[in-house]
Amino acid sequence: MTYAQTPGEPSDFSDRRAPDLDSHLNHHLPQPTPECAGFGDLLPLLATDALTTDEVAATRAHLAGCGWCRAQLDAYAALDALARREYGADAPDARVAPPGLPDSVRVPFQMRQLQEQQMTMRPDDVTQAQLPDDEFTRGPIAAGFDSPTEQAVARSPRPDRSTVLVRRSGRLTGITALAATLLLVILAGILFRTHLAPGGRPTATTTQTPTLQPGADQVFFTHAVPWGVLTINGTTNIASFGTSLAATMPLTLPRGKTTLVYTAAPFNTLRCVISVPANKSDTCPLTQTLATYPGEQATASDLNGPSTPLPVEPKDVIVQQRTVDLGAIPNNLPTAALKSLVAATEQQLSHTASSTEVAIGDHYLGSDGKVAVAKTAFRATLSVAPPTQVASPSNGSETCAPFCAEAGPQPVAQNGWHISFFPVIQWQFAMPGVPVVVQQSPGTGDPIDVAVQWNNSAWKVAVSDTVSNGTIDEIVGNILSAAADPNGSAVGGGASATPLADGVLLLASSGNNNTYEGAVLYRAGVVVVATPGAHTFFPSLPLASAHEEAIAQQLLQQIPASVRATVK
Amino acid sequence: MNTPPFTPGPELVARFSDVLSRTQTALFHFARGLVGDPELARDVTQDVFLDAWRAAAAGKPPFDAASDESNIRRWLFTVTWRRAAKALRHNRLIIWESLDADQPPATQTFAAIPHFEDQVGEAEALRQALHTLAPQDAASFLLQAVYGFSAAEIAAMLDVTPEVARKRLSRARQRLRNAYTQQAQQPPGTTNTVATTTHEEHRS
Repeated sequence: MTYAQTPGEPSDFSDRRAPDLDSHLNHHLPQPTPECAGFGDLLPLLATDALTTDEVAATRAHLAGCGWCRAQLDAYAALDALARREYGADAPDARVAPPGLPDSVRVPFQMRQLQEQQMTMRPDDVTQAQLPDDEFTRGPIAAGFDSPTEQAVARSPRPDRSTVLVRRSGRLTGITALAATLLLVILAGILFRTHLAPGGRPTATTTQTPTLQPGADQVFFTHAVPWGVLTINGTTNIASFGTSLAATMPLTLPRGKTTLVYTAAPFNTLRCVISVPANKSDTCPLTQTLATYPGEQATASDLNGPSTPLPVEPKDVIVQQRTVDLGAIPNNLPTAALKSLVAATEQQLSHTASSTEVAIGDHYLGSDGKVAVAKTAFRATLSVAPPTQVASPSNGSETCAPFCAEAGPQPVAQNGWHISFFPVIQWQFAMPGVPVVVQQSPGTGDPIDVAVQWNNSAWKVAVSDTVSNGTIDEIVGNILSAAADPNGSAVGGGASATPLADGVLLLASSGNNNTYEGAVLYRAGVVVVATPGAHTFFPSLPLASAHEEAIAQQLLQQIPASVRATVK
Repeated sequence: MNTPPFTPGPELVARFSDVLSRTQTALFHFARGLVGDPELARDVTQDVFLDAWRAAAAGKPPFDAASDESNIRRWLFTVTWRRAAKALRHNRLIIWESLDADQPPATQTFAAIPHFEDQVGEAEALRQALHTLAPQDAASFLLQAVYGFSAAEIAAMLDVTPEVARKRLSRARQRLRNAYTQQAQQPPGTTNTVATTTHEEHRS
C-alpha cells in the first residue's frame, strides 16, 4: 500500500556556495515561514504552464510577502538561464559536424552519415533510405556549400564500401576487446572444424586473395531463435543456432556464393544467397554492412565532416561486417502461431486474475469504451495480458504489438527465446454477448520479459516473476490517474482490495499534501467518485452506487486515520 | 527477398535536410544532457535522424503532408529521449527505484565523478548535477526549461500522465538545484553517490 503524502524536499540553502546561484542563496536569505512548505512543489513550476490559474494566483500572493520564496524563485530562474546557455541552440560544442564548418556543411555532413548508414540497413525495411549518389552529390544539399572546395568535397563520389568507416556506438573497453578477441579465436577454431571434412579436406574454397578486405568474409546473424537450424550450402548444419556461439560471433564464409537456409518452425524458412565479397545479386536480408569501433584513444575530434577523411586510430577495431537478419521476431510469426503464443502467455498470466461481483446499479466499462450501469448482477474478472487489441507502445522505432523483439529488462531465469510485452489490463464480464474489454495502461514502465520455447507443435512460455499483484496495482494506478485527472490534478496514494478486482481506492489531491479533495474508486474498468469531496473535484465522474460506496468505505478504513481524516 | 531500392525525390530530400538543419543542434544537446558523453550523444542524434529518415522516406506521420513542424519537433525529441534512455540502459546507468514516499530511496553509485579541480565552473557543475537526476527527471527539465515544451507535451513525449509529468518537473527542478549547489560544495576527490529515481509514479 502506498500513500502520497510527499512533502516538499527540505530546502536549506543557507550555506550553499554554487557559482552563479550564490547571489540568490546568500547568508542574508530570509527565513522560511510555515506557509512556505505548502508552496515547495509549486515554486519550481511557476515559470511553466503546469500550474492552474488558482495555483499561480496563490503562489504569487505568497511570493509578495515572502523573501525566502522569492530567493528560491530567483535561483530556479538562474538555473534555467544556465541550462539554456549550456544546452540551448547557442551552446558551446553545438555542432554535430566538426568545429569550424559553416552551417551549410552540417547538413551534408549528417546526410553523408545517413548515406553511409543506409548501407547498413536491410533491403526490405529501409530501402527507402537509399540515397543515390546523384541525389547527394548534385542535389540541393551539395548546392548549399559555400566554397568551391566544399562543393568539390560534397560532390566527391561516395567512398568505396571497402574503405568507408562508419562510426557507430560500439565502444570496446579493454576487457570487452580482450573477450571479443578470445571469442574470435575460439570461433575460428570451431569454424575451422565445421568447414573441414573428415581428413582435413576443405568442403568449400577458402582461398582469400590479398584484395579481400578484413572482415569481408565474415557474417554476423541477428534475430535467431534457440531451436533454429542454419544450413550452409546444404551440407553444414548448425543446430540450436540461436543459442550457439556462432549466433553472436561471425561465421567465416568461403569466397563466392553461399546458400543459407534457416529453419525455425513455426517461422517461415529463410533461403537466401550471400557472397564473398558482397555482390549485388545477394538475397540475404542484411541489417549492417560495415562497422568501425573506435579505439580507446578516439576522441570527439575524430568525428569527421565531409572535408576530412576519417582517420584510423591506432587502437581502433575495424570490422567490415555484414549481419544477416534471420527474421525470427514475433511480428514475423504466422498469424496462427502468433495467436497461440499470445494465448500461451495469457495462460501463464492466469495467476494474476481475480474476480468480483458487479451488483445491479454498479458501474462497468462497456464495450463501447463508455461507462455503463449494470441492469443485472454479473461477475467481472480482471487479468493482465499482452496487448492484442490495442496499440502498444513502441521502443524507439520498434513496434511492440503484441510482443517486442527484445528481451525485457528483467529476464526470466529460464532458457529460451527472450521477448517482452507491455502489460495491459483485461476485464471479462460474464454476461451473454459482452466481449472482453481491454484497457491499455496510459503510462507503461519497462516491458515484461518472456522466455519462449517451441516444442514442435506448441509453445512453452515462462513469464517474468515481476508480473504480480504489484504490477496490476501499477497499471491500475496509471489508468486511474489518467481517467480521474481531467484537470491535471493530483491523484495520490490509496488502498487496494483483495482480490484486486474488488476495487482500488485512490485519493485526489490539489497539490496541497496535507489534505485530500476526495476519494475515487477503480473497479470493473471504470472510475467512480466515492466521497462528496471527490464529486466536487471530479464533477464529470459518475457517483458510486451504494454497493461501490460500501467497498470504498471498507478500503478507506485501511488508510491511516491521520490521512483518512483529511479526505473530504 | 530482393526489394527494389527506394529513390527519394528531391522534395523529400530537401524537406528532410531542412528539418535536420534546424533541429540537429537542439537534439544533440538534449541527448548530451541525458547521456553526458558527447560521443554517445552524437550517436544517439545520428540514430534519431536515421529513424526520421526512414519515417520520412515512408511518408509516415509526422513526416506526411498532414503534419506541421511542431509535430515533427515533438516526434524528434521523443525519439531522442527513447534512444538516449535505451543507450543509458544498455550502459547500465539507469537504476530503478520506487517513488513511494514512505520507502527509503535506494542509493547506488551512478558514475565516477571527476575531482573538483577537473571541473570547469558552472557548466561542469550543471552537467554533473544533471547526471545525478533520474533520466526522466533530466529529460523533463531540459524539455521544459531549455526547449520550451509544455507540461502536456512532456507528458505525451515521456509516455506518462499529465500529473506525473507535473510532479516530475517540480521534483526535477528541486533536485537539480540541490545537486547543483552540492556539486559546487563537493570537496576534491570525492565520489558522488546519488539516489536516482523513478519508475512509475502512477500514484506517488
